[in-house]
Amino acid sequence: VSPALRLALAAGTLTVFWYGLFVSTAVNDGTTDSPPLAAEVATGARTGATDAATLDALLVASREAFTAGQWQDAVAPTRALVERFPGQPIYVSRLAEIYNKLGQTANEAAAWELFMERAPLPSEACPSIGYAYRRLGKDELALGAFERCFASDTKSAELAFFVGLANEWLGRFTPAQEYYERAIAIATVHYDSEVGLARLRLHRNQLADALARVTKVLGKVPEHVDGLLVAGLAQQRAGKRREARVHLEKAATLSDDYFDVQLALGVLDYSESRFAEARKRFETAHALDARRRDEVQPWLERTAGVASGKNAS
Amino acid sequence: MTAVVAVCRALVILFWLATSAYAFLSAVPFVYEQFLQPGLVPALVAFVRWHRWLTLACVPVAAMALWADIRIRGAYLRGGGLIWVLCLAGAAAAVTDPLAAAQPGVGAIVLSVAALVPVWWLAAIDVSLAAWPDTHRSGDLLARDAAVALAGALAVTVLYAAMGVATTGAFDGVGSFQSTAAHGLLFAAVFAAITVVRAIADLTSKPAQWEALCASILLMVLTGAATALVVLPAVSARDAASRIAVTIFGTTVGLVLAARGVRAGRELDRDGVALVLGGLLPAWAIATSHRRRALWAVVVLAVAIAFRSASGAMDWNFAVAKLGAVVVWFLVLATAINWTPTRVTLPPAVPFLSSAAILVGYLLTAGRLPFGPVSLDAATASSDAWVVGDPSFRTLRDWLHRPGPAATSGDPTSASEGIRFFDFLQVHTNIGRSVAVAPVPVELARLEGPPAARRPHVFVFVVDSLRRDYLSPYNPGVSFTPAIQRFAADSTVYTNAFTRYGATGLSVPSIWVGGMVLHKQYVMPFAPMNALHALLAHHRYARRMSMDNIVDLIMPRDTAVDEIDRGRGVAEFRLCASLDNLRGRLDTIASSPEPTFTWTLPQDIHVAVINREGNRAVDEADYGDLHAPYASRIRRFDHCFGAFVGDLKARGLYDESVIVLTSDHGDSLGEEGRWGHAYTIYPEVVQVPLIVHLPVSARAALATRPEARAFTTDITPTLYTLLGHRVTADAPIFGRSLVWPKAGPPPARPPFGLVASSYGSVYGWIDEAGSTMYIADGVALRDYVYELNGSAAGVSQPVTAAARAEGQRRIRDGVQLIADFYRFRPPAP
Repeated sequence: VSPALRLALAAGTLTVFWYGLFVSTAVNDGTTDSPPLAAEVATGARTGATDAATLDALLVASREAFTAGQWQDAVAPTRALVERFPGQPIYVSRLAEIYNKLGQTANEAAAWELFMERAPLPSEACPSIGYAYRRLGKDELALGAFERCFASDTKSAELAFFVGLANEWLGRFTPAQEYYERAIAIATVHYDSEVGLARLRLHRNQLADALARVTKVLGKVPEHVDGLLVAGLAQQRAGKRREARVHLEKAATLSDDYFDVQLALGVLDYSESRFAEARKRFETAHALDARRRDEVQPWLERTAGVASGKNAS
Repeated sequence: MTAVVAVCRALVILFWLATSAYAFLSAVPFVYEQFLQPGLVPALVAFVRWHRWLTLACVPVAAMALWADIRIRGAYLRGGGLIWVLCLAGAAAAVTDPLAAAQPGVGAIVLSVAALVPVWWLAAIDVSLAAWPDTHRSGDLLARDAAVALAGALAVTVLYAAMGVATTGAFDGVGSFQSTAAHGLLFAAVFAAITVVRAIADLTSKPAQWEALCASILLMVLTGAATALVVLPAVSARDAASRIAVTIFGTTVGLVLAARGVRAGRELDRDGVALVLGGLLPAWAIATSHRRRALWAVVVLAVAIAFRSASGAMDWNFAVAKLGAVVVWFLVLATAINWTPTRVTLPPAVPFLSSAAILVGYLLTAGRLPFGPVSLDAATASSDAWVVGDPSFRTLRDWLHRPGPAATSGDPTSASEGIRFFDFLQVHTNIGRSVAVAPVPVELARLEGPPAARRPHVFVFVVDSLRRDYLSPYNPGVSFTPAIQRFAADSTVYTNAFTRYGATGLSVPSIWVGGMVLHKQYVMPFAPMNALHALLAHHRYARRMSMDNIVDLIMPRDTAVDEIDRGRGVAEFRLCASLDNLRGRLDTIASSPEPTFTWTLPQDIHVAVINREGNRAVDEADYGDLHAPYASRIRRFDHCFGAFVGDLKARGLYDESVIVLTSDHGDSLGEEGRWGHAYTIYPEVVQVPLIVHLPVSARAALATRPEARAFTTDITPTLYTLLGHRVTADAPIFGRSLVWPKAGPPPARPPFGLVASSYGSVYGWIDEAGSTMYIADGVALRDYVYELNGSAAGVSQPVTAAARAEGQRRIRDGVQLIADFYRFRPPAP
C-alpha cells in the first residue's frame, strides 16, 4: 500500500472518529412514535433537532415566517424551538401568538399555560391567556388564569383588574367590585377599573351612579371605548337616546369590531324604528362573535322582515 | 555508575516537574485557599518548606546526572550550561523562596512553566546526543500496528474489567461492551495516528529519522492532551493560561520520554515509533526473555493496582484514578509495540474497516445513534454501573461524553441571553481574583437598640464532612453515638437538612452570611456580608472560637477573639481537643456577664485527615457495612461531646444555651465508587445532620417543623429570631428561621432549592419537599436526578427531558438571583 493511500485511510479513520464521537449529536432517545402535537407542546418532552446548523435554520425560519405574518409556515419551526429549548419561554409565547393569529384558540390557551409554567414572570401570559379561555367559552378557566397571574404579581393593578373582569364575566359582581377597587387602591388611578365599577352599577340598574362614574372617566379619557359603551347603555336605559347614540357611535368609530357596541347600537336603532340600520348592526354583531350569536339571534329574528322586505315585528 | 546517573537524572526531572505542578496548583484560587494554605497534605507542606534547599541540592545531583555527558567533547556547553542555570536558580530560590510565595495569578503560572526549563534542557541534551540512526523498518508495519492496537485494547480492557469485577462483584453486559468498544476506539485511534506518522515519514527522503521525529511529536501531543484532559477538569480550570500551562507540562513529559527513547535506543534494532515509545520502558523490559517480560507485565499490573488503591484512599474528582489509567495505557502501548513481532500479515483494508466497525459498535451501545438496541438512558445507566470498577473506562467515558440538550436563557432582556446553560454556570463559578466584585451589605434584620435582655450562650459545632447516616438520631442502626443520641433526645433533629454547598470553601461563608454567596473565593472585604458577625457584635457576645482558615478570612481575628485552638493548623483541629479547651473555660463562661459564642470546624473525619492517619480505624469495633475509619473517629468524638454536654449541665448552662451540631457537607464513602467530596453534590454530600438545642424558655415559646426542608443557611436567621429580631431580608437566596413564635405563622419560605459545589460549576436543585434533587454537572457536562428516599445515596432516576428542562431553568434562575443580589455581571469573554 502506498504511503499516500495509507495516509488517506488513516486520516479518514481519524476524521470519521472525530465526527462520530464529537460532532454528531444524534441520540437514541428510546422513542419510536411521535406523540401527538398537543402532548408535545404541553410537555416539551421531545428533544428534537440538536445540531447547530439545524438549530440556526429553525431560528431563522421561525423568525422570518413570524415577521412576515406567514402564520402557518411559522408553526413547525417554532414548535421545534419550543421542544429544543424548553427553558426559553420566548418561543412559547411566540407559538401562542401564532396560534392566536391562526384562530387555533385551544392550542393558543395550551401554549400560554406552558408559558406560565416555564416563564420567570408567568404574569406575562396575561391577559392573553384569559381572553383565549374567554373565546373558548371557558370563563372559569379564564378567572383561574387571571388569579394565577395576579398571585405571581400582587402589586399589579392591571392584573387585579383582570381578575375583577373575569368575575364580572361570570356574574360574580361582589368579588368583581372588590378586585376593581383593589386595582384602584394599588394604582390610585385606574380607568379600566373605574369603568368596571360603573358597569357593575349598570348591572345593578344604578343608572345615575353608573353615569356619574363613567362621565368622570370620559372627562379624563374621552376615547375610552368601554367607558363610551357604559355611558351609552346607561343613557339609553335612562331614555336619553340622543346622548346615548352620540356615545355609542363614537365607540363604534373607535372600535368597529366591538360586539357589545354593535349590539347596543342595533337595539337603539330598533327602539327608534330604524329597522334597516338595526338589522345591519345585528348582522355585524352576529359576524363578530359566533359564540354570542344566541344574544343577537332574537334581534335578527325580529328584524328578519327587513331582509325579506316586510316590516319588523 | 549508569544506575546512579539514571537515578540522579530521574530525581532532577521529578523535582522540577513537581515544582511546576505545585506552582500551577497555587495558581488555582480554590486549591490555594482550601488545600495549600491550610496545609491539608503534609507531603506538599514539607515540599514547599524544603523547596529552596532542595533547589540547591539539585545542583550537585544534576552534575552527577550529567557527568558522563559533560565529559563528551562538545557537550560541555550543553551540560555545563544547565549546571550554571541550576546554580542561579538555586541561589534565587534560596533568597526569594518563590514556591512558598506563589499565589493565584499569572506569576504562579509563569513559575510553573519556567520550572520546566531544566527538564527541556535535559531532554535537549538527550536529543542532541542521540545517534538518529537508520532504524530498522521491515515487514508489514501496518499489520503489525493493527496487531499492537488489538493487543493493547484487549489487555487494558481485560485488566480493568477483571479488577472491576473483583472489586465490585458486579457485571453489566452493556457496560462491559461499552468499555470494550471504548478501549477499542482508543487504540484504533492510536493505530491511525501511528499510520499517519509512518506514512508521512515514508514520503520523505529519510523515512527512519522522520518517523522517529514524528513519533516524538505524536507522543508529546498525546501526553499533552491526556494531561490536559485529566488535570483541567480536576481543578475546574478553563482559562487559556491554565490550559497552556497544563498542556506544556504534559508535552514536556512526552518530550522527556521521547528523548530518552531516541537516545537510549540508538543501539537497538527497532523502527522509529517503537524507538520513541521505548522511552517509557526500562531497557530490560524490551528484552526477549520470557522471564523479564513476565516480570514487566507484573510491574504494569502493579502500577494499575497501585493507582487504584491510591484513588480509593484519597482522590479528587477521580483525577488519580484517571491519571493511573492514562499511565497504564501508555505503558501497555509501549510494551505492545516493542513486543509484537513484525511477522504479522493482514489485508490492508481490514484494520480500517475494523476501526469503523468498532466506532459503530460503540455508538450503538452508548445510545449515540438514533436507532439501535440501547437507548441513551439505558446506556448511561449501564456505563454508570460499569465505571465504578473500571477507572480506565471512566476516563474514556468522560472524555467521550456529550452533554444533553441544554437550554439557553429565555429572557431577551437578560444579560445572559443566548448563553448556553453550562457556559452560563461556568461564567458564574470560581470567579477569579482578577474580577473585582464589591461586597453588597447583607442585612437580615435591622440591628438597633440595646442588646437583647436574654442572650443565650451559643455553641456551633460544624463537624467537617459529617454525614447524618453515621449518627444514631438519623440512623437507628448506628449504636456508636450514644452521647449525640442523648443530646438529640432533648433537641430538635431536622430530618431533612441540606448544606447549600458541597464543600467547606463556600459552605462555611454561607452559614455566616445566612444565605448563598457569590461563587468567588472570596469577595473582600467580607465583613459587610457577614450577618452572623454583625449579630454577635450587636449583642456583645464574647467569641471563643477555632479560627480556621476560612473564618480567618471572613471574620479577621482580633484581640477580642478567644482562640480555643490557638497554635494548631486547621488540619489539626479535633473536636475532643477543642471541647477540652472549651471545658477549661466553662467556669469563666458561667460567671461572665457577657454571653459566649463558640464556633469550631473539627477535621476529625475529613478524608485528607483520615488518609494521612493511615486510613485505618482507631479502634477494633465492628462497624458492619459502615466505613470503619470514618465511623470509629465519630465514636471517639461522640464520647467527648457527651462529656462536654455533661459539663454544661453540671454548671447549669445547658438549659440556657443554644447548641447546634451540624456539618458543612457530607462525604462520599464508596457509594458507586465515589470517595470524598471534590466537585460533587451527590445526596450523601448535600444531606447533613442538623440538631439544634434551644434554651428551655425558647422551647416553650417557639414552634418549629423538624421534618421540613432546611438548609445550613437557616442557622444564622434562626439565631436572629432567638435574639428577638424579625428577619426581614426577603431575597430567596437567604435562609429562613427554623423557629417562630408559637402564636404566629411560620416565616414564608421561598421555594429556593439551589445547592452547589464549592469548587466547580456543579449545581443542583432540591424540591420543596426535599424528596428529589436534580444535578447539573458542568464539570463532567452531564446531569442526574436522585430521589431522596432517606438513604444516604438516594436512588438514581432517569433524567427525562422535562426534568432536565425544569431543573436547568430553576438552577439558571437561582444562579441569576445570586448574581443579581451581589450585582455581579460576568466579564465579557
